[in-house]
Amino acid sequence: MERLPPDATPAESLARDLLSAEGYTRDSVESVSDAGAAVLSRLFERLRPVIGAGGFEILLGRAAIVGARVHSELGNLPIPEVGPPSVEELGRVFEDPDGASGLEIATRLLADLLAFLGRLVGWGLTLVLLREVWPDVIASRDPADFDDSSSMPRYRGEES
Amino acid sequence: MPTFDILRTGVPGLDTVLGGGLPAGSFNVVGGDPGAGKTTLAHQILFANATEERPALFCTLVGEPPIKMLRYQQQFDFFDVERVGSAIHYMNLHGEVLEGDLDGVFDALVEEVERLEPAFVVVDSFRSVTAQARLESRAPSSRLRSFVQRLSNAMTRWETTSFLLGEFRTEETPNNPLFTIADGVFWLRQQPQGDTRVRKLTVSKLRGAAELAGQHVYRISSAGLRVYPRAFRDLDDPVHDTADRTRMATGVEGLDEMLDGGFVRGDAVIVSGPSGTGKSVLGMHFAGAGLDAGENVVVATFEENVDRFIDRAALLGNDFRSAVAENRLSLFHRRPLDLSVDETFEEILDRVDEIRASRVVIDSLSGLQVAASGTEAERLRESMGRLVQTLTTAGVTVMMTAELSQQVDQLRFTPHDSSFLADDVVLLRYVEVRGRLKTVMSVVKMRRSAHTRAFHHYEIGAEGIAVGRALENFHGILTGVPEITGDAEP
Repeated sequence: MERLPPDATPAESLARDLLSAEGYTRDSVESVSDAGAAVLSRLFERLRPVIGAGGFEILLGRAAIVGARVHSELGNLPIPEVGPPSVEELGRVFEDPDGASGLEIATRLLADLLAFLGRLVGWGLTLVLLREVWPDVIASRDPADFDDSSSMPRYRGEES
Repeated sequence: MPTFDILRTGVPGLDTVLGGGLPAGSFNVVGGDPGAGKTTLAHQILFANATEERPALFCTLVGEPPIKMLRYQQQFDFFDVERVGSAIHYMNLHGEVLEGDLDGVFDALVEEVERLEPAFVVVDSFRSVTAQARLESRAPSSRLRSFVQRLSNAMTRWETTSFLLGEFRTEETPNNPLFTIADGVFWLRQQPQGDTRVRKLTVSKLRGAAELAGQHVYRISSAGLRVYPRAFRDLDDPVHDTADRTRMATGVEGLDEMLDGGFVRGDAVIVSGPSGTGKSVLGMHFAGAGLDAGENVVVATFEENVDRFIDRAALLGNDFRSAVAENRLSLFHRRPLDLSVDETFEEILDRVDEIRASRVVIDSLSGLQVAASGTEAERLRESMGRLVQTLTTAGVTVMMTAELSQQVDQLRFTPHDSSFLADDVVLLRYVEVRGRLKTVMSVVKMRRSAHTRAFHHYEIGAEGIAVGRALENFHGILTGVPEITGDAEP
């Protein structure tokens, strides 16, 4: 697999490991979209009961918008109301004669989606949810490894 | 006769309101205003009770976006992310509700219940189901009744304790079959009180238990909800035998003699008088005397902050700061803002329990009256009665200071119709003697002891109050301008 830059964020590292867990291999360009679709599909199935189809749409839509600032191809990604884009739709965005670029786009999309989820519900809960799907990938990870700014604030209501 | 388990809710104070806890397997409705804490209450109960073996299912329909709900609920101490997916399971049926498919909602929910066999189920917000029933049917009440009945039956089949949350209003109760079928109905309301609001919980129905009637104040903090039941409660470990008639030294030179040795242990004392007559100082003396005797003391001040109170007491020779550090003196201040009377009194009881205090000083009833907002002030009299009864029954001696304007046309010894609270009343007054303002005190009443009937002059000096001689040669002291019948002058 193409190496991540040394300044890659924990979310980017996680995204890359999830793609690898779903079968991405360096030698196969098509495996970017297949692996990406598998990650998004399994992620949707795990998150849907918790945050609803609408919640997943929020995450995916934002990730595509933010990711498009770096990889303009993501601006063309269709965001379904329910569930992830199809393999074909992802393929049109991810595939590139230069496979590394497709991998970067897929990593960007997944990393932004996970980072947004972590920021909204905290990395503690995010990793708990992901662990049920990818136990081996998550096992070595700790919420503290991720951005501190995503730690959940305490309720500041009517403390007497 | 069938019996059923009682669940401890895990919400402080709520089990008292429920008469011990929530009947297991009950089908409950939680209604109330937006932001009143329905979702937080449900989560708090689930996290207190659900396990992997007896999991909980939290089903979101239409309402607050689930992703936001998860974010906000994690702000509370009880939310343990590690238990999500094992003890606490979530499902979302937003799509089925929006599609207008009540049967689909029912089938999906029951399918998950049958798969998971949860001990607890929450549906949030059930009001969307009510709205959908109205859209689907020409006889929405029947449609809703059928849905609720089927749901109740399904929950009963799996012995599930369930909670249906929604922004219902009490006006809906007669026309909504949900409230007929439910075993328990809880209301969480936010009531405006002047410029602030007070949160109150009511249990209007609870099959299988004897709930505590009335409205109970509750607060939401990072620990979740805490309910302050309107109930007499016993202290955890009464300090002294109520038959103990030991005398409690006041710490004021000369006053103990007026009281035939001091206040009787377990009495409720009111010290009343106009501003500046030394009521707070007397309270400091009383607290200090308790500490000197090896007792623990609670002081609640509604006028001065803690540091000022400690500094003033230090001028009288009382080292309250050390006593606080040693956990022998529990001293707290509540500002005259949005104060809940029941909450404050519960705090007093908690502190008495915590340090096993035998004396409590409340300074002052007048400050408490100012601090209690809106209709809370109306409940003050009743709540004070409950507090005093709880404390004195356990043998705790309570001293309350009270501001009383000095009037010559009305002979009152205590303000706010609070005389019923007091076993003992000490009255402080000003008198004018030859153009100078003097202070006099008298013991108006002692329910369980003899006492002097004479007025005594007293001074407030660098070391506090010192009681002087009886003013036997003065006539008309209560007028404020007494006649001196002899040569003596205070």
